[in-house]
Amino acid sequence: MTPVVTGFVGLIGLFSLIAFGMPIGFAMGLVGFLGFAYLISFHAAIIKVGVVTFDLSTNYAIGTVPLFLFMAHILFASGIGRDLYDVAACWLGRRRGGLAMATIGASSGFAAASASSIATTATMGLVALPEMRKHNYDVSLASGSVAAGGTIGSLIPPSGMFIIYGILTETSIGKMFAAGIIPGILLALFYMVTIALVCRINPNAGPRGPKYSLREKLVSLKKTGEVIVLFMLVMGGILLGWFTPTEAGAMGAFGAIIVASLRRRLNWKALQEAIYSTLKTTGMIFGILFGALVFNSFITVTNIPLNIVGFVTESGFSPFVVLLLILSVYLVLGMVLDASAMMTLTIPLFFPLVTNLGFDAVLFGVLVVRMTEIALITPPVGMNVYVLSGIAPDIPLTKIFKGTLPFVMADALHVALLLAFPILVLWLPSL
Amino acid sequence: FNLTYASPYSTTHPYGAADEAWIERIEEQTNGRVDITAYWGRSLISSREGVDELEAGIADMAYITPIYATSGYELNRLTPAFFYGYSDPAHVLAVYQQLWEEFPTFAEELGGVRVLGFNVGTPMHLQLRDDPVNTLDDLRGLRIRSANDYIGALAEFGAEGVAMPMGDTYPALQRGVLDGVIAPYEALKSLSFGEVVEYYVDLPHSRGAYASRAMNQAVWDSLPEDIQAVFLDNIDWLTQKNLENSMEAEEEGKAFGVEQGVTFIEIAASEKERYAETFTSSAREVAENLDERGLPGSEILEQVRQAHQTSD
Amino acid sequence: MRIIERLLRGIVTVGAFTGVACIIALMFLTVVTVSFRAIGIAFPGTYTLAEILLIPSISFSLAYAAYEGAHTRVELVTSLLPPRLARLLDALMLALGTVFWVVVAYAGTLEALKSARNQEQAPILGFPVTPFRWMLVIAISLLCLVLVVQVVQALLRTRQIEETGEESQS
Ligand code: NA
Ligand code: NA
Repeated sequence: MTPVVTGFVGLIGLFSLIAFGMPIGFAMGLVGFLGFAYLISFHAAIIKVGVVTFDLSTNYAIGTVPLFLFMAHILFASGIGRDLYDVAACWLGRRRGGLAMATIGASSGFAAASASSIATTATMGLVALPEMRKHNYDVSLASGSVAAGGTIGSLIPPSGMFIIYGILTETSIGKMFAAGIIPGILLALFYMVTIALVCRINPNAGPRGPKYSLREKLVSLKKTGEVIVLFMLVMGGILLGWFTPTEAGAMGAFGAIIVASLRRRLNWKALQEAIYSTLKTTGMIFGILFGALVFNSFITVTNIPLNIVGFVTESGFSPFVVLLLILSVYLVLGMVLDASAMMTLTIPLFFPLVTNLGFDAVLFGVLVVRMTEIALITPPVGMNVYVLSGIAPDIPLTKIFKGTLPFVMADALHVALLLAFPILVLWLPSL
Repeated sequence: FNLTYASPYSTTHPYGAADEAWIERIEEQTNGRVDITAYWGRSLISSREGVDELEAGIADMAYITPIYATSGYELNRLTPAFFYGYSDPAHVLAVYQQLWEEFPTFAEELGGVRVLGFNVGTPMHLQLRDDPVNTLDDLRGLRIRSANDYIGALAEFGAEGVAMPMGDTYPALQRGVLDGVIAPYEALKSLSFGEVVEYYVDLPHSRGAYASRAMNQAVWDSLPEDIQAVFLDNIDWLTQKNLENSMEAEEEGKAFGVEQGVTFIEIAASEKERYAETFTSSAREVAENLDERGLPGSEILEQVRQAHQTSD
Repeated sequence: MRIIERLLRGIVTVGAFTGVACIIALMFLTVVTVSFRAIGIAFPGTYTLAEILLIPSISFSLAYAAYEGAHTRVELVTSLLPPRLARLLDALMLALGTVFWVVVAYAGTLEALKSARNQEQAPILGFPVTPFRWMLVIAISLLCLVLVVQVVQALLRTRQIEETGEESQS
């Protein structure tokens, strides 16, 4: 078998194993290992697995995900998360899909304190998902808005993906950060409109809640005290330079414990439950990551990505068509690869091509990061969806993917808008 | 011969660009008999364990960084620290290559691979966010992102070295979690530090040299002699090309810094010397540890220091 | 089987406690570092220590998640099959999936042996790293053990279904 054929056989194997009920991470790891061993050698595959797993187990940047999870579990266990949604229900619940819109807003806000898509999705999944379900939201809409909301964060600084792109291409990280803001806000608006449309088509997706008087609304605000204090602590700490976004998880978790204990919302038992749930969720996420990284190594040596890149490079189409092709390559690769693997593999090859064709490096960066994030919510391999499904195991994966579909369509429009009006991306960095 | 090449660097990086030119040259000089497929940016090989990965045959050739290994390859990994105080990369490279010829242990440590090129790091300096450093006393109380090797020296002058991951460094400088970073001119542009620092102080932190490109030994042995000869003939070319590209990147970094309004501060020679001295004891300690393991640590240290005194 | 299950629960409890303790230690390490930073006291070893603490946190979390049956999976096909066949398929998939973790444990063993041979030390702090590499191996081995027991449990359950003709609880 040629490497490319092996790659396709591997993909078919992967999807069969997943369909037959093998845990997703296990399947990716197994197929990745066997494929790598077949293409290179058994010994090489063993060494690769060893390197990848130890690298992942000591990766500080990804390693802070458990602490963000801890914070989320404390918010959940102490009922602070519920309070926040009670307030949202009070103010926005009357509107169809209001709580899902609030989730998009909260995800965007949280994204300003987090550099990672997975951390945002997991946190909002713990806090927002149970509340939307309690208010009788359709699980697809509820989970779809959480998974999609998690992708906004990459556009809003600080953004881990922009830093990776900046370092890979030597593009100004400051400009990338500035360039992401307007598209990020636009995307949040697009997602909210999507929710409104979904609810118009299916009014039961996000049912109207009861009506509250202004007085009740104002009283309800008292409940948000804890969250506001916590948010100001974390955001303020980052903006004032007390700690880095990577450290924010630990500070947030610690702050959540303090705030919840002071308000007598957290007893010993609840705290214990929160920390053990954190361990469980961490294991679930890293179970997928371990497998995904081994699988990425396999896909790399199948040369499927290189072949696709080669095809685009030598296609000889007009610059704009080439750019569109490249973006669709990300959509295709994104179906099976995770975001940062996709970037490191393809950017060094695409970047010179794109800049030679006269496109702006910052614009390309924003578009690519956007495409890699969309990949997190498209089937069959969509990390945000997997993570969410781990947090809410009773929701079938297919339902979540169904829920992300309208958001993926909104994403397509959003990208088209950025392509049509690059000024939306390039204006802020030019100031 | 279809060979694979893997590098943790991207093609926009000076090292990656040198590799690209080298690959083209090899393919040309072997009249296309050697065809190389390259994998950039850590997609196939890591920097911490790249030597082992190459040895295991994960790629046929690779950019290796034995200096970033967490253990093993003692001479390759630890002796670059002996070059403290050096400021001319070309000189470092010359001295280092001399050592490689004199002490076969360097090559023996990398027994599973065949070395095809060397790399020398351009010196790193102090880049600061808020306040200038004119004398070493100004270092007191500053929080500086630094490689592990420099943390001890910074501490001598009351500064805190932070071994933060590079990806976190930009936002940390932007928001003031850090006061500064130890990085080369090149990083002003390539890592965008020029946007977030005000001062560039030319306090040198030499990085030494290391064997940086290699081929899996079994693959090497399988090649006919005439092809091997092409690779051997290009060792110096690749090494020089790499240095050339690095120096160009230095200039680009400087230019970007000027454009961003960075103030360049030249620190007095006496201060540089005082700073370099703080590395003496730790270098000696490393050398003695190597001696204990039966490696020529002190001998190499002596030679590196002498070469520094006589010329640089 | 009872005894094995009880024994396994005991070991997992210890493993989970280790993981939890390390996550909490990680939190306090960061909090203390940030607080002392604010008053100008330095901890140069924070990152080294954090990376080391991550090893038991993450690796034991994998075993615990497996014990709790929390690893994400799709029940699309199995939910359509008759219970006995579904259980059999579950057991088979779990057994195959275990192969990957056996590979991880074996690869980790090779790395740990290399680390011991090279006397690997943590930068700055200088303590030996090898025991933490062994911790990874232990945790992944525990994960494999958990999975093997689950495979056996699933197989036993198919036998039960066969005997009673239906599943007791579904
Ligand atoms: Na963000
Ligand atoms: Na996807």
